[in-house]
Amino acid sequence: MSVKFVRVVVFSFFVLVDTLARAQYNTNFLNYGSTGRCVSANLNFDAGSNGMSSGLVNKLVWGGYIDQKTKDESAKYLRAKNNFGIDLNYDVSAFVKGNSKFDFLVGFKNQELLNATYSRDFFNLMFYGNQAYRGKIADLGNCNVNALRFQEVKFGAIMHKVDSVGKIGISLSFIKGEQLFYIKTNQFSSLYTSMDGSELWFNSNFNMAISDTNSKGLGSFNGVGASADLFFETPYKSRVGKRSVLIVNANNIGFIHWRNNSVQYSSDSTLRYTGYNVTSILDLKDSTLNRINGDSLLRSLANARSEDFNVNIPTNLLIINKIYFSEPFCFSFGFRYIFNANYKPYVFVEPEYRVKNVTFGLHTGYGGYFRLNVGASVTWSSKNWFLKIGSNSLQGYIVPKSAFGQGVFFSLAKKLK
Amino acid sequence: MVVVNRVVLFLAFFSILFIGCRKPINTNWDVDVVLPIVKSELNIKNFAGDSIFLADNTGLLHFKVTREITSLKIDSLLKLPDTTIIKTFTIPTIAKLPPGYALTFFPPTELEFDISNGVALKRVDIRSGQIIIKFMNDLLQPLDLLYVIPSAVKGGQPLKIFETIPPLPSVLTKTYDVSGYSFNMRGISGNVFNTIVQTNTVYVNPDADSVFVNYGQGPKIELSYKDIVPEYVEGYFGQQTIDIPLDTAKLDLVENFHAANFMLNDASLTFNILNGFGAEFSANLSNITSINSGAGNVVPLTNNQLSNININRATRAGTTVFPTVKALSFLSSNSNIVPFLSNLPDRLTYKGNISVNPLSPSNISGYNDFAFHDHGIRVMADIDIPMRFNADYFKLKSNTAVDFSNIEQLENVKSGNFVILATSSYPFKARLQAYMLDEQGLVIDSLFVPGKNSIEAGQLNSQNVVVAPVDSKVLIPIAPEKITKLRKTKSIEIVTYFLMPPNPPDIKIYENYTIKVNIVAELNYNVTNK
Repeated sequence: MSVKFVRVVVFSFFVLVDTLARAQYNTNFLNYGSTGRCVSANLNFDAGSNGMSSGLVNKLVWGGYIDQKTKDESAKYLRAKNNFGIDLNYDVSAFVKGNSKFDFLVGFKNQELLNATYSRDFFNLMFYGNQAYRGKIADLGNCNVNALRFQEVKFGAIMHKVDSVGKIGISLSFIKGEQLFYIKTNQFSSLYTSMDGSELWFNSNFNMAISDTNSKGLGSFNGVGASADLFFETPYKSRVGKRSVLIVNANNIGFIHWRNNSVQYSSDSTLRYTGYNVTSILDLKDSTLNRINGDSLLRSLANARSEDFNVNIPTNLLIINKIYFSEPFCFSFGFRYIFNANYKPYVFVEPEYRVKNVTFGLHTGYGGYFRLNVGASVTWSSKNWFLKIGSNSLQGYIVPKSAFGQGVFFSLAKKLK
Repeated sequence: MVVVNRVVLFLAFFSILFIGCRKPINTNWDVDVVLPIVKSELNIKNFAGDSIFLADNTGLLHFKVTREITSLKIDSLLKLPDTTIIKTFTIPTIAKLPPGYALTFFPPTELEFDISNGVALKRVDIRSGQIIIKFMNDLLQPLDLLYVIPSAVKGGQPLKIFETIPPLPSVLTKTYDVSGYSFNMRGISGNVFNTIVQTNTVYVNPDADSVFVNYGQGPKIELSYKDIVPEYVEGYFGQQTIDIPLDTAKLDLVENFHAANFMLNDASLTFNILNGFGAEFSANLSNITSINSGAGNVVPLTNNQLSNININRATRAGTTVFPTVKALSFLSSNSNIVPFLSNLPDRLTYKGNISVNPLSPSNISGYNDFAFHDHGIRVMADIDIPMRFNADYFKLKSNTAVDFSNIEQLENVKSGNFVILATSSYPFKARLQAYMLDEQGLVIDSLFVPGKNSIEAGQLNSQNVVVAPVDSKVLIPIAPEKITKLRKTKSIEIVTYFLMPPNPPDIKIYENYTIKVNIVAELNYNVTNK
């Protein structure tokens, strides 16, 4: 093993320990034009909400105690309906030589997706409790939370000389489902708390699915699935600029089949809970309190069934149009949408300027989980290495109390011959 | 090849790094929740068992309870004594007896049991008992002994004992169970009583050698009837008086119940004397006192009904006994039963005697007196107390074993209250306190806050009748230190004072009175998301 190789490994170790990043927009093929055949490590983190502060999101993601001040910061920006999303992915992949027209792709990836649509009352119930709702009805209608964690092994190929200039990439992934939590309330779902607290009326009207709660962690195998990624890139002549490139990418087209240790709950009725009935209060025992837990309450409120079922993975669609006004300067505008992910359509523009081996980019977009996102990136590409660091949402770091998006991406690739 | 190796190394290295980057996260926050825990009712019946309270046609509850005061069983009436006899089977000649030779010249004999008090039994069915026989043989060869009691029959077969008696110095001792045997006690002639018939045959054991016998030699048995308990006896039980020494019966009308200045409006006590024996009795009872051990009060029952109580014999059809009942009622009009029971006794004393076959002639049944083991004389006290009284207050205690050491739901509670929402339609106020006790029964802490632990009485009219229920709220504060103590608690003692409204008029408890209870948790709870 050469000294040079060891230096590369050590450098990569420190970089990776220090940062979190991923291929921008969660696609393996996007950087192929700059890296070619390579071995790469990619990390991506995106989080945003139009109803939660960055401080609260950070606590939910990285852990910690959420104090009253953090909750109040988010609460003042709540609207009738709010969105929330976290997308955390990391992978190692390699494009290796196929033949003169195509290269093979192999990779390992971990994806953690959490998204939600929630009402103001849902947020207040979750983070403040129902004491403030004595004598009132909390509206829980049309809320949903979708949390998904899975790992995949990816095999694919990219044809890089389609009609001599275009690229078409395709990959298939075998997926191991680790964890699922899904809940969706329908239109009339609500919770009423009586003034004295002796009654809870729950208009249930919800569906819920949870993977095996006894099997957690990387080694758990609660579901199996498959997905596909599709990539298309072609240059074309346009009236604007010297040349243009159109990129269309769709990834995570697939599903996970959750095994029969998973449980589905559903309920569509009004449930009145007044506590556990005890014939004589003198017979109240510790065993009564033991019966009052989330699992037993849920089973008594909803129809529960252990069975296997399928869940579609949130599919990511990305369309970018790059216009090169000169070789150093290009201007991209794009569209991104994630299906089944409470994601609003996202439009963005990205001007980029290259100086020698370094490309500086800016990013401005609207939609997604927040509203206005502002970001920047730096790309360094040499003969043997490729490095891209950036963020599509810097506003959450700069003004965290009023802007709620944050993200970072990182790609490091060792180019291969 | 070098490139592939590097690719594999890179992939493996970063995969390990990513796995190492995964770490469990723990996000937690505090929420203020209000949640109903328990819904229940508190009723006066809960303190004593609902089968004890019955309503009359006005809806007024009556406290009705039956207690057994004393009883007489068959062993008080007659005793079958342990009896031991020695029988020798002397051979009246000098002879040389071959193996298998039978000595048949021992005639049937009678065995009379010495039963006191003039008891003359003609039949005894044995519930349990034993015959122990010690066999001895002074010949030089083993002898076989066949011992038959034709009077003792089980399943149509008489009791037979057959043993081989070894020669001296060996002594054979055997025990035989006579349970289930029916003994005819009329002897050989059928004209005597307390007497059984037995027969014996002696053989030279067939496997023995010929044996030389001197005059006066032969086998000997020592026969004992031991621990005979009859299942059924028939005959004449004699004329006897059975003394009932001064004794105490436990009443325990309501456990752990105390009252101040308590006086019932009315009450009744009926002594029911059930006679399951087939014989006439007469009884005298005295020294009947009510004792309240806690208060140290004693109230004697004053009445003249308790002497010369004649009790008829029971009848039967086969083995089914129809006891006779003699009822002695003590009302407010003929006794001091009201203050007697207002003493709220936990014990009752009594003394007396019972005479068997007191009439003349005494053997009125003609030796057809009978007694079964499971039937006898029982004295039952039926108490009826209408719940109408005067008092200053009651105090009730109850104790419940608990184990909160593994209650996970308490782990994340930071502060709050358990709130008892009570709607009471009882005419008295209830002041509650609950004490947490450790395994030694020592008080760790209390649950309720003094001054904020009362359930108010229902709204009363001028007759102390509840016309409308009243709502109350009682708080049980919960703090981490209290939860720590709760985890150490092994039992909870609830002490309740029921404070009466001004009376007279009498306080009455009606069937529809109740306290509806909701327990609500108002908690600051730490939600943990892992």
